[in-house]
Amino acid sequence: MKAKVTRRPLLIAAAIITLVSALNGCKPKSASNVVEGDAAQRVYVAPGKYDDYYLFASGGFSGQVGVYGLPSGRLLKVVPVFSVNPENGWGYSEETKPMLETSQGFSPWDDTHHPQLSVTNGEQDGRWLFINANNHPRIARIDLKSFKTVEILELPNVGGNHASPFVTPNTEYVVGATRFSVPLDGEDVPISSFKENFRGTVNFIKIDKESGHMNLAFQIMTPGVNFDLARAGKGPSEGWMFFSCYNTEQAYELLEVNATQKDKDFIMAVNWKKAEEYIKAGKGVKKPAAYLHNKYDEKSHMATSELVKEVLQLDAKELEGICYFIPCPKSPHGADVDPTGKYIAASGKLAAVIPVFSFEKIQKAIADKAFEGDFGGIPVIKYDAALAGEVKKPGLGPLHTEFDGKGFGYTSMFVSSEIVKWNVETREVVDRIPTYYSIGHLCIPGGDTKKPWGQYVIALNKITKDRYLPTGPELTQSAQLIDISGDKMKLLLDFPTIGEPHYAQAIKADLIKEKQVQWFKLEENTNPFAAKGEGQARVERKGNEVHVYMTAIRSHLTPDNIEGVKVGDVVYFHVTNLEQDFDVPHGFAIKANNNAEILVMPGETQTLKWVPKAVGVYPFYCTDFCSALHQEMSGYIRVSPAGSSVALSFNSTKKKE
Amino acid sequence: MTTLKTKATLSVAVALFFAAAIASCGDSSNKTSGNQTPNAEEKKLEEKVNEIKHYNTGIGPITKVEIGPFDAAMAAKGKSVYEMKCQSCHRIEGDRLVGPSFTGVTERRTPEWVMNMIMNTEAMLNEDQTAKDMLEICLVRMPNQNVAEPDARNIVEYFREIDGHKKSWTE
Ligand SMILES: [Cu+2]
Repeated sequence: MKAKVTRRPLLIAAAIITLVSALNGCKPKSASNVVEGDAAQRVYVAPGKYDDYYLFASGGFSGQVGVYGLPSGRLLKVVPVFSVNPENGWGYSEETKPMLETSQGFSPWDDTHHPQLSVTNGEQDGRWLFINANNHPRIARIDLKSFKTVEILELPNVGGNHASPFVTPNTEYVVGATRFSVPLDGEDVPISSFKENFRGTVNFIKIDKESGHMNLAFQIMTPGVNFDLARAGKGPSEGWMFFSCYNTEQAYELLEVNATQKDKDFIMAVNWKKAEEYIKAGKGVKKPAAYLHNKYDEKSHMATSELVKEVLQLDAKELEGICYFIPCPKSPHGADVDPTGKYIAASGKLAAVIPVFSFEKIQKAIADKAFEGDFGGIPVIKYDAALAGEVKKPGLGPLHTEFDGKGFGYTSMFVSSEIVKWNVETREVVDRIPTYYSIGHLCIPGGDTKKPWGQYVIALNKITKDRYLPTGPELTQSAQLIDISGDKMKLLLDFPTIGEPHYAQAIKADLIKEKQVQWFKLEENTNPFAAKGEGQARVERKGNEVHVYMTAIRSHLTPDNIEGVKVGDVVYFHVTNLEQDFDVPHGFAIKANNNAEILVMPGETQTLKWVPKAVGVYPFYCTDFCSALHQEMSGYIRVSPAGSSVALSFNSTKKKE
Repeated sequence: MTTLKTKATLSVAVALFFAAAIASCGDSSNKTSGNQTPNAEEKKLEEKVNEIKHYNTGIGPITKVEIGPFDAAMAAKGKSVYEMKCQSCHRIEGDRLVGPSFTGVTERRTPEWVMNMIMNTEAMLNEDQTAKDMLEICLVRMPNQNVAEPDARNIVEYFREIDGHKKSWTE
């Protein structure tokens, strides 16, 4: 312990020197000479024209998803997922509150990292986007017809859901694996008993083909290591999943030093078809658990939260042939499968090479039992027996690789702030381009699938420094668009993003834009509090609850005068937007509200809870500018003292005679 | 307008002339300037347009509505659509609310105009003179409530009921 502590300043000094020299080394000569002459034309999307791609970038510590158009880099929408969003009432309205419930109570914030688009036959299908909550382990599904978060599933026995979510070639499964190994949920054990009591879990969530609904099918128990990222095999390697693991030292204190001791950590190869066979043969063990499954119904516009009490577990060391470790230098981040499914590129953050493993060789090594030993009862394949070859001296800090579909891999280099292009078959570096600065993940539209679009790579950077007008100590986060259609990469555009653009996926706009829901049909609205027509607008008292069934249409709210509410009452405004046209939401806000506004889409019903604390007359109004008479779209509610005899009354729409 | 499938020759003629009228005012380069005398053909067209003004079908997909004996079931359906999608702005009786009240609508408008106003709202507000005149009074653009054609037709039947016209649109 003492020795480790005294060594630390040295390490830090060394790291600072490396970082400073790295940053100096890649500083551009000047901002003006890094882009080619036609870059402006290449990213210009004229007024009224559409972008070619949707880019879905994680909002990082904002907990949301940012949707951008490419090549313009314009922000199109922020989809609220794991964090409350007062702008539209996500997590504040009664209908959406259950979406942010967890087994340990309401959770208003999380940290999103890895968006994952659904695929069919290994190609993007534009149906759903999955994204992980990194802090409190959950996976969300966003419906790409409505751009709404429609499902959130909590994962049991997971600490930090980082290696998540990644899909199999027909979106049979979405996987999520633990970043921090932990004891089973609810176990009270000393932290120093890490090796005995802490486990890794790899979770396979089954996706319903039609509805997209998620169900935790099984959980593979592994030795206690940290999982970082994963990708599914495809083509010849279909049926397998590859996870990067670090902290194979099984350290539990000062990880910066203690979890980086070994020269090699692991890639874990998981044969999920084999796991399915074991389950069929009854080898799974049902264990008690407690995790929430939250669903949002796009007909009732309401969420429900269900407690699941069981999880099916498979023990990797008991069940032969499910898991294998492959040594991998050093603290690997990406474990990325190329479009042919033949190769797995692993990017060790602290490694000097990018090892590229061959699926064929891995299979042969397993058949030949070319193992160097075991780790926690799981066979470790010999490095050379699995290796196709290494990309030598690619740069510093290789992190993540995507592919262009033309035989090249593109790897982000965190420490040397660059993207390196290399030939997948020969492992030769053929081009490199600086990024500004400290790139984390990168994204090629479809770059993780069988069919990448291969036109752009997007750098998702950790540090912004001098790229934009300064805004105090905190700068906007930043992404960069780079053209990869030719032999040489060309920087086209910097664009700001929300939160940390940790990772992003992009898809051809055509696969999404035609399917957009423009309004919800009133006829199909099954919300029990809907007022489907102004004739149904009313106010009802149930004990101390007052339910206002309100309608909104350009440009009035009905009822707009309410009396007979008393201090001590709890008022629910159930607002139904009667519009049946594209792009006409109405908002609802009321004075002295300790909640948020609600934004109600055409045909939708949303409910705001309001607890008046003082006697008075309170105005309410529509917040979304909707028409020439938007300013008139308002009303009053009168709050009388507790015990007052003012009768409950409301007006139906009247015109002043 | 180009896919006419109506049987009544009058309405075909009406629609054609109406289309011609729209086309000519939509294309400014072809406009006859004030000091030129319109030729005989144009004069004839103008007369025709004036002649059919009393039968304004509006602009949109509906060129001819067959009005048969009153259908109570259709009217009932029309009423429920009215209550869900129209009532917040249009009363049946009395004065204008946001939009005009519907009493007597069968005397002021053709069934084709009513259905086009419901189904093709934006274009009607931009191009149909009667709709434009109403907008100047109401000042709130009528929203397109995306009522499908059968339901728009049901509303027409409901309007017949309101006005007590069980024989035809006007009787
Ligand atoms: Cu409004």
